[in-house]
Amino acid sequence: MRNFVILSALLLSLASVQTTYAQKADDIVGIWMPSEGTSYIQIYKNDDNQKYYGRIVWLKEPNDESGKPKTDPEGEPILKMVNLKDFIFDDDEWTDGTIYDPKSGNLYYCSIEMAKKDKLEVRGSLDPFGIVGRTDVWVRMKTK
Amino acid sequence: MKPTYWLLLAVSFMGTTTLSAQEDDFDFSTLVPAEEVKAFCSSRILGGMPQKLVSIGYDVQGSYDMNVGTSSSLTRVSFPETDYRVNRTSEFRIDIQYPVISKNNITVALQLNYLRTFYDIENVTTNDELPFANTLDDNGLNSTSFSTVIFKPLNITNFLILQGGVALNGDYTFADIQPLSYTRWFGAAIFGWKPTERKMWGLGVSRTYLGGALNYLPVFYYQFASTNGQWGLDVLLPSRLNVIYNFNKKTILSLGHNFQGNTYRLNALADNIEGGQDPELRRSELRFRAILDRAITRTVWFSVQAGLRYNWEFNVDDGDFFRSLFSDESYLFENSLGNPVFAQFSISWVSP
Repeated sequence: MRNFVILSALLLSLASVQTTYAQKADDIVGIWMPSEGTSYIQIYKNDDNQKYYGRIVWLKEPNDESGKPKTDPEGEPILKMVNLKDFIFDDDEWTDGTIYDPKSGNLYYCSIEMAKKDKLEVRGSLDPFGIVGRTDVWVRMKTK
Repeated sequence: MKPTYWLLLAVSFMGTTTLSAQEDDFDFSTLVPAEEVKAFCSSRILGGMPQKLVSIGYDVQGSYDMNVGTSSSLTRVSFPETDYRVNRTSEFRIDIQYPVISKNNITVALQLNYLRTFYDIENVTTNDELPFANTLDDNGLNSTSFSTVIFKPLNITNFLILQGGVALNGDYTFADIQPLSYTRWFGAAIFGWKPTERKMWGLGVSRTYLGGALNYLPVFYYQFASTNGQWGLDVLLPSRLNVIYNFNKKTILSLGHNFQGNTYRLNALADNIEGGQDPELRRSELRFRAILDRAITRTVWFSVQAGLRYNWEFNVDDGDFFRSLFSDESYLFENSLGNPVFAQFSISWVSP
C-alpha cells in the first residue's frame, strides 16, 4: 500500500510537471502583431511533430500598387505564408526555429521569449546563437 | 462525467473549429492589441545595400609625384622644396560594426575602424632636412577609431541618428604609440523622416575631419530603393553619394564619390622641427569610383572598386584647430600630390 501511494504521488507529480510544461509552451499560441503594425502572425502548434509555426494571416496593405496580392521576391503570395518554422519550447523560450522576412526574402535563425503574457520578444539573427541579430516586440491581438 | 467537463470539452473543440475557420472567414481587422503598443520605423530601407558587419580590405594607388614644402608667401616655415616620386600607396583596412542593442525602439552599434597606409617613395634619403617623406616611407600612417552609432526611432516616420567617436591618427607604430592626448573626437546628429519602406532621409550637423582639419559641416542623408528593387541611392553628403544598380540579388554596381579625411600627428617631424611646433598632416582625398559588390554566400560578399583618387589636401598645420574646407589660412608647410587611379578589394561579412 505504501509503495502504491509513493508511485501514485510520483506519477501525479510527473503529470503535474508535464501539464505545467505543456501549458507554458502553448502560451505562444495565438495571433500576434509585429512592431511595425502592418501584419498579424498566427502562431500554432503542429500536433504531428509538436513544433510551433507561424503564418501571416492579415496584411494592412494586402495588394501591391497594381492591385495584385503582394508576393515575396520569389513570387510567393505573402498572405497565408508560413514564415515561422520549427520552434521547440526549451527552458522558457521557443528556439531552434527560423523566421522568413517575405519583404526582403531573407531567412534568419530565430528564438522567441515571452516578455509578458501578451508580449513576445522575437529575435532574428545571422548566427544560430543569436549574437548578431535584431529583436522585435510582438503584441498579442484579441477580439474587442 | 459532470456537465462542467462536457462544457469544457465542447469549448476546446469549438476553439479548434474557430482556428480552422479563421483561415478563410475570420475578419482579422476586427482584432485589437492586448496591450498599448507604439510602432517604430526600422533603421534600414527595404531593398537597400547589405549592411557590412566585418570588412577587410586592401587598397592600392598608382604612382604619382609628390612635391613637399611648396614655396608660398603664406608659408610660415621654409624648407627646401623637394620633389619625390611615390611608386605606390597601399592601404590595409579593417572595419567592424557590432550591433550591441538591436531592438525595434533603439539600435546601438559599436564601430572599430583601422586603416594602415604604406608609402613607397622612390628617392628618399636619410639626409633630408625635412623628414616628412622619410616618416611616410618608414612608418606610414595609422588611423584607429572607435565610435558608437545610435539609431533612435521616435515613431513610425521620424528618427534620430547620433554618432560619436574618437580617433588616434599619426605616424606611430603599435610598438611606439603616440600620446593619447592627440586623440581627436568626432560626431554627428541627424533628424530624419521615413515616409515609405523604401525611402528615408534626414538633415543634421557633424563635427568632422573630412577635409583634413577640424570642421563643422551640415549633413544630408538620403536612402532610396526603387519599387522594382533595381535602382537605389545611398547618400550621406558631403561624405558620399552612390547611384546603385542591382543586376540581381547577388550583384550590385555603385557609381559615385567618397570624400574622406583625417588629421595625423607627425611624431617624427615633431622631434626635428625646432620651436616646439606640433605638426599635424591634414590628409583629405576625394575618390570618384565604381564599386562592384558580389555575393559569395548569402552573408559573405566580395567587393572590388576602382577609380580616381583626387588629392584634396596633404598640407601640414601647427596643431589641431578649426579650418574651413576652402580656407586660405597659412600652413606650416604645403605639399602637392598627383592624382592617380586606385583599386580596392575587400571581403565582408554582411547582414543581408
